[in-house]
Amino acid sequence: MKSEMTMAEADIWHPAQQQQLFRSLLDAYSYPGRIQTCPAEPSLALLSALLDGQTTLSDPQDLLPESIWPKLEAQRVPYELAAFILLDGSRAPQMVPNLGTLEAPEHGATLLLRVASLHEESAGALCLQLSGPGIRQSVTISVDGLHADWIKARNDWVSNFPLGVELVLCDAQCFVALPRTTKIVLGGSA
Amino acid sequence: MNAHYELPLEDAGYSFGFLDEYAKKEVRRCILKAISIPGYQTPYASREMPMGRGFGTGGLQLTLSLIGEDDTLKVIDQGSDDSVNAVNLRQFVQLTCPGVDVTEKTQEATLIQSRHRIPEKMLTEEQILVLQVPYPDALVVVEPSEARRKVMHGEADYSRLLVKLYEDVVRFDEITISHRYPTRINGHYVIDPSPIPRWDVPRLHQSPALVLLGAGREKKIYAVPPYTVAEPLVFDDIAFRVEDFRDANGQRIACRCCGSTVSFLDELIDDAGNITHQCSDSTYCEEQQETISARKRA
Ligand SMILES: [Zn+2]
Repeated sequence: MKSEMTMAEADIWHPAQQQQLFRSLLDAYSYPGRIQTCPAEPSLALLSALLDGQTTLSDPQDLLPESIWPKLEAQRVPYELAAFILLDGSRAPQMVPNLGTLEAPEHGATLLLRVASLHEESAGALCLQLSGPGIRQSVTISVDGLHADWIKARNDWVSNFPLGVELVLCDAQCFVALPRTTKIVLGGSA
Repeated sequence: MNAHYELPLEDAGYSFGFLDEYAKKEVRRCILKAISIPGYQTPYASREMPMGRGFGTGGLQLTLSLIGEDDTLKVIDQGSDDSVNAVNLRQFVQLTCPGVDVTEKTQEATLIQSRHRIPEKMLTEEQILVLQVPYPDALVVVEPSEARRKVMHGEADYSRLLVKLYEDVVRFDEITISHRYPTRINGHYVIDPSPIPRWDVPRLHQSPALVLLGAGREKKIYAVPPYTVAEPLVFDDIAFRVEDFRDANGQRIACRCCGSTVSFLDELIDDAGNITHQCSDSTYCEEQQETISARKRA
């Protein structure tokens, strides 16, 4: 969805705005598959709401302008060590992120993938049928601009629960969360 | 409460929610991992709060990291909005979170912080329940080493806990745990669901509302996400049972105030020394009484 934003960009660096962004994220994680709208460009807005100097970020494709890094405060680390990773979802995954350990599964990374557009139901190119915690009856969402290998790789990474990763798919205005507990079946609305 | 505490002011003069923004962000990141790994005790760095631990600092840190100006907060302790603890916590949030509304009505609240009870009224998707937890780890009764408990949790190895429960069954003919009944979340982690009665345990199962549990002393946050399986640990031959509120004749005891026969009851001893029963959820009880008097007026 690339239509022009009509409202003024929210100040994503203000604590009150970050609290609201966090609550949208909380809804997204609580009810995976529910597409949340964001008052600013979602991938950056969510990073601003989550990061500080205590956390690590990897941006291997240099998607972030250099000027943003000081504002995010996060430590810049290699992909496989990062708690948060920002990536272009249209490109196939290259490496295995941190999946956490049995004793510390929370160290599994959070991957923010930029995609072209997110759709409720099956209007987009890649259909994802979702079930699991937070989903009362299985739902289908669809995505344009997400390389199908991402879902295959992710399903592999979460196959040994409690190890795994969280995916947050972000288009220009919306985002959706896919925690490691969400079962994702590719291609299905059946 | 510590009267000497001064509220921190941010650079921009923004002060809301008592905790500094870094502390909130840490708790928020921890909450998201806790939801992603249902029932897992996610560690965080607990900040000092201007009240002793045991007064619900774990729950309060969750509440302060969640809350915004649009929220309406309800605080209950032992089922009551009016207990000293509940009043203190509510006043603290009102003082530190200008613009937040407070309520005693369960259905009006967007955030509910509680100790010992889940409200009788069914929660909705628009609500978040925060439970204060004194002892987060269900395995502590069988394994003193936290490092070993972490491995057992990771492997979902609860055989020793089950043996312990079974010893209870053999000795007392039923599982005697009245509170903190070990409950398995999403088929993996077993949690200590805070000191809620068995009565409330089934309400964690497939709850429309997110349930977050916070232990301030142990510095752990864990979650029961919405629409998630929550099963009390049981054996094939012994079913899980909630508290039995029947008298010697097998009649369900009614609340002495509102007459409800479907709520969780507290046992009280009146001035004459007789045992009486009353709803533990005081707001529920008052609403039942209002409904009855409205019906009488009509
Ligand atoms: Zn009553």
